[in-house]
Amino acid sequence: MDISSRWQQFKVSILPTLKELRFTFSRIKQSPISVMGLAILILYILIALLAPVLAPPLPNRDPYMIPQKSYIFMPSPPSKDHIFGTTENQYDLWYGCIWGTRTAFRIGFMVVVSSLAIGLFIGCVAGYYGGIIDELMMRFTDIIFAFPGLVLAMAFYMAIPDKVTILQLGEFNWTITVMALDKVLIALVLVGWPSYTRVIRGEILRVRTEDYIEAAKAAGCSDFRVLVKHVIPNSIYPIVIMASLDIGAIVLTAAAMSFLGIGAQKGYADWGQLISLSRNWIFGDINNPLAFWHVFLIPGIFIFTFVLGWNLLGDAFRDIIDPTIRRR
Amino acid sequence: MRNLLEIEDLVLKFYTYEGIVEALDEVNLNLREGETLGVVGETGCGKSVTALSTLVLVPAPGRIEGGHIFFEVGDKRVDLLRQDESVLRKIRGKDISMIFQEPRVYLNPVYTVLDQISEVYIQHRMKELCRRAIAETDDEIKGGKASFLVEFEKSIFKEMLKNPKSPVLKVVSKIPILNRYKRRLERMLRKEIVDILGAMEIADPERVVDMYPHELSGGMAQRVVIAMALACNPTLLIADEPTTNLDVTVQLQILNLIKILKDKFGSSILYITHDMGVVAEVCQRVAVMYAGSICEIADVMEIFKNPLHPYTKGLLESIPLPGKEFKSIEGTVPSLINPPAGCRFHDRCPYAIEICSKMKPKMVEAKKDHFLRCHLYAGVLK
Amino acid sequence: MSTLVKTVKLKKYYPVTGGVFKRKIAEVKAVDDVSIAIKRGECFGLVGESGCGKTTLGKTIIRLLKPNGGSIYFDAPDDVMEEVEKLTDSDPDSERLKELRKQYDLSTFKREKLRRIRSKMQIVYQDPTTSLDPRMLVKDIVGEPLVVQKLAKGAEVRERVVEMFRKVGLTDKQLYRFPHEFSGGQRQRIAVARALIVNPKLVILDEPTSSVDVSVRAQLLNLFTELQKDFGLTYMFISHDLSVVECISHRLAVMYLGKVVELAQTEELYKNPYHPYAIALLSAIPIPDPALRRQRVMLTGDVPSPINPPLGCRFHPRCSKMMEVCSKEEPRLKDMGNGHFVACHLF
Repeated sequence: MDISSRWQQFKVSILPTLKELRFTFSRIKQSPISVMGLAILILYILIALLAPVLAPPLPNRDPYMIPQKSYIFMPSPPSKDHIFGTTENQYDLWYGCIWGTRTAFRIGFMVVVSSLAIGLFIGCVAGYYGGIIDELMMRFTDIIFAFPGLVLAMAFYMAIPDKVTILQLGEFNWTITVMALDKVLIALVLVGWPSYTRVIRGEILRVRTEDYIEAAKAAGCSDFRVLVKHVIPNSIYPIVIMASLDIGAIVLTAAAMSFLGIGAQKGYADWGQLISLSRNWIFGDINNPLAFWHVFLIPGIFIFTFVLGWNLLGDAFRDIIDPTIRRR
Repeated sequence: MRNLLEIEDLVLKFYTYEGIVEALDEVNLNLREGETLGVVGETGCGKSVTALSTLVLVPAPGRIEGGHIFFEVGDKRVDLLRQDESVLRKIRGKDISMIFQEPRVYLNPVYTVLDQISEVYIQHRMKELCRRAIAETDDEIKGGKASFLVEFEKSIFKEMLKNPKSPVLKVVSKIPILNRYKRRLERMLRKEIVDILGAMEIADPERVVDMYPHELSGGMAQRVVIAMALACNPTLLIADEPTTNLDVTVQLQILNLIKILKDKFGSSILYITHDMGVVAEVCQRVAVMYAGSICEIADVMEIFKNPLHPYTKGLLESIPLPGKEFKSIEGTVPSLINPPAGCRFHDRCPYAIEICSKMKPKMVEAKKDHFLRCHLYAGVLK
Repeated sequence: MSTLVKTVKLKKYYPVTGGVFKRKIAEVKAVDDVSIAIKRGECFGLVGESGCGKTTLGKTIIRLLKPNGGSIYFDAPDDVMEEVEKLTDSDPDSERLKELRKQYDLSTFKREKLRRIRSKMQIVYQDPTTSLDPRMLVKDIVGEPLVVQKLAKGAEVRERVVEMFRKVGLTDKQLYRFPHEFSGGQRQRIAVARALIVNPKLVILDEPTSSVDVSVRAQLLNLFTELQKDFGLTYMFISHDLSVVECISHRLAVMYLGKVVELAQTEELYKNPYHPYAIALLSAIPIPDPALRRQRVMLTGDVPSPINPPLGCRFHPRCSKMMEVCSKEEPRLKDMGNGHFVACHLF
């Protein structure tokens, strides 16, 4: 088959998927709330992509470490040199917030994608095969649910070692250093996967009894093929919605942990870190309580709008993807 | 014989994301007192929404945009589409009742059969119940074995009769010994409902009355729904495919029951179905519906012997008979978002002429008491 | 005509669990001791009301469900079937019978052997909306059995899908669409295409016309008859709609609570039913002719639950002609001549 007809075939084959996407998009456009959510997120994506341009890093330095022009303890208000001002120890707020966008996306995506992957695997096995495997998995998730999330995350954080030796053969040593931020990520994944497991197991229980699954088995499909090609594509939607709502929640939780002292190291460009640095300055001066408003309010606004954007988008997704409302 | 229900030029549109669905396109229908009118049509032709429009219960995004629905309530003739919600609420359940296709879905799963039928009663026949309670207390007083509590109950019932929403009643209903009047009412209601269930040919109504909907079989659930519908002796009963989901032997029982009850209660029935066999069983007159408008209305014998509209002919020919070749109507039902111009059946009609694609036909009386909308028969009578 | 499928005392029970540890407390005897034979090239009708086990029987025959007892002999040559019959009567434990069973009895098939035989038996479901994967393009849905059974690859799959589409009356412009873009009748055709693309010998049609409109029903019935002639198929037509079954099936079995109560040629059964349940069932069909008033047999009560079926003849509590033996002993299928079998103590 020559190239031009192959291309034709390809174009025709993706046409229905494109039509579906166009329909989804037009639904998104129709709801002002989801447009706002989408706009916020696009803005943040741009900020993250253009971080080196908006806040140029110093040469020969890890761009995620916020530069300090001096080491004065008290923060200074917004000025010509520092657009957002500086926080404790003169860390530049503008730099911190801009590069913090990248960190926020990184935290959100990595935790959610990892939790999703683990939850998907375990949920699939539990939901599809049922029986005793299902029972065991569900009791295990029950145990994790019994602990308050934040406390458990902190406990995991403490338990993860700083240096992990993967291989040790005689003189050859392969150790990796686990950064503080990575420890936070791992802790959040360990606390977050059970919710995904629950949701996906529920969906699989519903889809498992549908006629088309039985028809696929009647055609001779193996269990694996049925799971991957039929069950998962039809049960993934609630997870997509959950994931988009979760990204905001994870960033918030990571910020809370930073505020409590567990999180990225001091001086790292992370919104939670910035809020943590503002701890001493929330109540300001004796005479003027809002003297240091910029120290906690500006990173706070960044966190707030980021989470808001994901929540709005997640809500919009839920209304759009729900097949009962979808085609009204 | 006067017309109990007259639907005139009813227009109904659904405003959906994908466009405006023109569900009903000038529907004209009339139901005479005491008759069973069948409305036949396929999926999507609009028969269910016609029924819902009669009760003015069409869900959003549907909007009734024109026409009248005249209904005889008592001696008055009212246009249901122009009444207040309060007036409609009095009519629904009492003068017009409806039974649906899947009975177990329409029964509230957390209430017993007794509770659900009582609800209809309390809504519409409270006064009658009070009067009977008063009569009963009177008998007890005259019989001489009454304490002063019974006198008290009598006065409570009188108060209920006069002013059901009085604050005195609200207070008394909460006080332990004084609210024993409720027991009398409950007892009377229970007896009444058990009687009704017995009339529905339910075996062992005493036991059924305390059951929950999921414990009932399809046939029993449908009987309970019919009991709820007939509890207040409505003049019009709308039945929306009540036997479609039932087994064929149970269907026979229910159809028989409906015939018996119609004679006993004297209601008129608007029977919606897609099964021509059921129509031949139950109905006296038949209206055939296609894509949002009525094509043909005639006496049931006339429709089966002498169908005039091409769609009716096609429908009757497509009923499978052994030994005969299977005939079907070519094409598919058009989408109602952009319905075809002129007569909506013209693109599938084997007898279509030029005018059919340009102008919508009007309802004419082609033969005596045989109405239809088709250009082939325009102005035949007269 | 030779036999394609023969079931011998087929049983399918569903356990009912209850209690704290979900132990089995009862069994739903959905299919209980059913022995029928379907001949090659015929359309075998199976009728009954809800709960009688007809769908379960159909699905058990093609091994979508695992039987709890009995055998299903599929596609065995005539001499083998004769031998099996002789051996089951005379020497049921013989090695020879076990050998034959391993070869032809579907209830002994497992894993790979079962997977491969699946291409010879397919099913069309009642509701085309739920039997097609809503997230797959119809060309993939129809092509999937070919790919899974490793009967074709790549471009050949597409060619065969296009060919199948044309045979069921769809165009190849409609290949790249999702199921929800089609009407009910068209979806049912897609389901038929999916079933027939692997060239099966047996197709179970599980109430295929119940969810579609009356006018579309005739189109589908025409399609079924045509395809049966073209492909030499054998059908098992399961339905509760007796007027449809009368027109399309050659032979017919009536089921009640998991058992076959009457079996005959279609014309014979409709003219001359013997079993009281069959008589009641046939008289309950509404006739689309208001001039014909018929003598109707009305049954009392509802269909009992298959968990605790009545002892003896399962129909006896509702039967107007019940005798004493009916509540004690279960009647067996008796040959009344002309291929007409009844299970009733009256005969």
